[in-house]
Amino acid sequence: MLLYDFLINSFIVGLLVGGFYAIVSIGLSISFGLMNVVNVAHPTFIIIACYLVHLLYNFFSLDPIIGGVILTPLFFMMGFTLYHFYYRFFEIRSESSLMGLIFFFALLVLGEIGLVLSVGTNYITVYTAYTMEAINIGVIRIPLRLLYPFLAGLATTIALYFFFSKTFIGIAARAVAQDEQAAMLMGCDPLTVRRIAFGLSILTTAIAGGLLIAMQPVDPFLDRQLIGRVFTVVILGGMGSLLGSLIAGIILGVVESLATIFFQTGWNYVITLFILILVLVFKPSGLFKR
Amino acid sequence: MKRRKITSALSKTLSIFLIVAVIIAVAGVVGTFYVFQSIGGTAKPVKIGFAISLTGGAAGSGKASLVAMQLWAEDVNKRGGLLGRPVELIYYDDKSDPATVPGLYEKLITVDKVDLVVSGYGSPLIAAAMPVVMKYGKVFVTNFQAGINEHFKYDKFFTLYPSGPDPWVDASTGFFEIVKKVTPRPKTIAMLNVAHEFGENCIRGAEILVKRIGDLEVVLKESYPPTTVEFVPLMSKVKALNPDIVFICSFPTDSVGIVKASKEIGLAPKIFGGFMVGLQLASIQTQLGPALNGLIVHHTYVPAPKMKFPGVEDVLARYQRQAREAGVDPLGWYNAPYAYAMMQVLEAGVRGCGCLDDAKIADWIKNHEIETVVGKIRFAPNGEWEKPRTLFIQFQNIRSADLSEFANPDKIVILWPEEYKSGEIIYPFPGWR
Repeated sequence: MLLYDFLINSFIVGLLVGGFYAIVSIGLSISFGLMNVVNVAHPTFIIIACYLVHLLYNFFSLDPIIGGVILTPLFFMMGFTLYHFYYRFFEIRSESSLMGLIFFFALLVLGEIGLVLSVGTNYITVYTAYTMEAINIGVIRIPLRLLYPFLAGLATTIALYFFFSKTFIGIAARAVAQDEQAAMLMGCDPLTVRRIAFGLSILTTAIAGGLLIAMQPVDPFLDRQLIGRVFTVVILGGMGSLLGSLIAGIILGVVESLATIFFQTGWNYVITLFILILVLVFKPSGLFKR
Repeated sequence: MKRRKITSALSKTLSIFLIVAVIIAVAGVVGTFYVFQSIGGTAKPVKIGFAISLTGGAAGSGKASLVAMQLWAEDVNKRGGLLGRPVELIYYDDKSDPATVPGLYEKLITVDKVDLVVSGYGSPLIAAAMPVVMKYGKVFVTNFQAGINEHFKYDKFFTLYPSGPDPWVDASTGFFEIVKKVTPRPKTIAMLNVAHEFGENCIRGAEILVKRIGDLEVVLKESYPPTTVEFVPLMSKVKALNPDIVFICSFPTDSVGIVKASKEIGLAPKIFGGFMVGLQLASIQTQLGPALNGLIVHHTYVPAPKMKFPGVEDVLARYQRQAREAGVDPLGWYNAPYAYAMMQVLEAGVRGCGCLDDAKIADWIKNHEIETVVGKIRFAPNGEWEKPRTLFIQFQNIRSADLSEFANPDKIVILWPEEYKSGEIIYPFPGWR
């Protein structure tokens, strides 16, 4: 009986953590999946957002999730500008995306070192009214520290899904991803569309940063642990499929949580990367289509 | 004739003037020399070097011990320095990264030419310094570490961590002495540790103690990687096995994660705690607040009536005045008195042999009982304390996350050792509210 409760609870924790993986991955799904920009610095932006949210928390006692939302315009502009730069100096110069990959890798290292030099390598944490609190539904206990980020992540995913399937710019972005020339013939400016899409991709990192620090302590090197997970989620979910990312994120969260039960705690990341290899070998297109 | 008179009068005045000037000058030089020597100006300082964590994961502890070490330097210079020479501390930031440590000690010894070395804070960093310190044969009085000399077997090594001659077993002895005395007797135990040298050694010592008790069944023994941040799955696993005791060897970030997750899932064994590093620090205590109630963890110092060793209150009071400005642990119970005492042990060695010769200092320290602000210390042949003194305390009646709660020694109750005991255990663990 106890084991049964325990399985349900672990499953729920996995589900909640998975919702977070989804929001982390969904931004990458836009850039990597839709635009073929291999932004390995994506998790670094999340960590930078964590530190900014922490500043807001320290100075204005602002809830981290709200802090993340407040940062979104800034991060959108950052992405928008960054893409312009990337396009001008990398994308139009070279056919291969290798140079772009190196560019983003350099950004990753710069971001990490910038954080280490400016704020040190200490863990930062936030304590909110819901830290360490949980709600009980029968035998199920749901930590609020995980529930709120899950709900916020879910809301963001749904909003982005509607943006990319219902609005003109969203549809245009997908059109550009499918066939740039055809989209140009239909009168849309691919550069502007791609700039906006990349801006949105970086915008999600602001929200993800707020959620991450609400869930756990953060240090400048945490991006290295996220990177394998986000690429796994994006590839497992099907490149560029937003709902695919959501479902893949949840699958990964549940698998990792259950791995802790049946193996040792350290195995969950190994299992994640093992899944990544299996997907690449047997179903490289992922579970869902764009 | 008249002119000669004038000349002789002039030369007389001049010679008197000159004599007076010379006397003043000599007096001035000698006086200045004495004045300078008494405040330590011209005498060549005794340089004491160390690497210490001012940034990175161990920075909280590193900076706090630095404050205490500087207090000692202030005091010793007020008393006229060491061997009539002023003391100068030379230190570098190791960034909490053991890889930087050997190079820093190499630099301290060969470039800065320090006379003596001491250590920074924590096993990984102290262990990293050992090969260099041993190469140059320096006496090494160290701050908190756990059992690293088991590997090095260095004869000039001394530590201030009050574990005992069998450091890993002695570290947790108190916890299991408490377990032996409670009724009804616990029957099962879950043992968790961080997968790191500290965690592995700590749990190995605890396992020996569990075996000695004999009738405790280990229902779970698991290690987790140091990078683990989400503990709900692991603690859920512990909860499903429903052990009477949960014993954990953890680092600060994990300790916090474990307490948070356990409260969230309502894990409530009869005895909860262990060698959980970090929960002794006010900075962490004021984050967790009442969630700490009932936990039984190790500690090194609580200003309970039986622990008021001569000088300790003064050191703590001065430390606490500087703590805010230095951005370090506001109470400093855990390490500050020991960091100060580390310097006192070295000082006693230097004064004892009246020299700066490493071998002779080590010899003196080995053969004498040394009075410090953390009590009288006698070292075992392996450099650990001859008599184990890791306290095990229980948090009791903590009502809020306010600092005043944790500054009250009545709420940090010493359960072991008997001679320092300050209250009775609340058993079983009251659970979370």
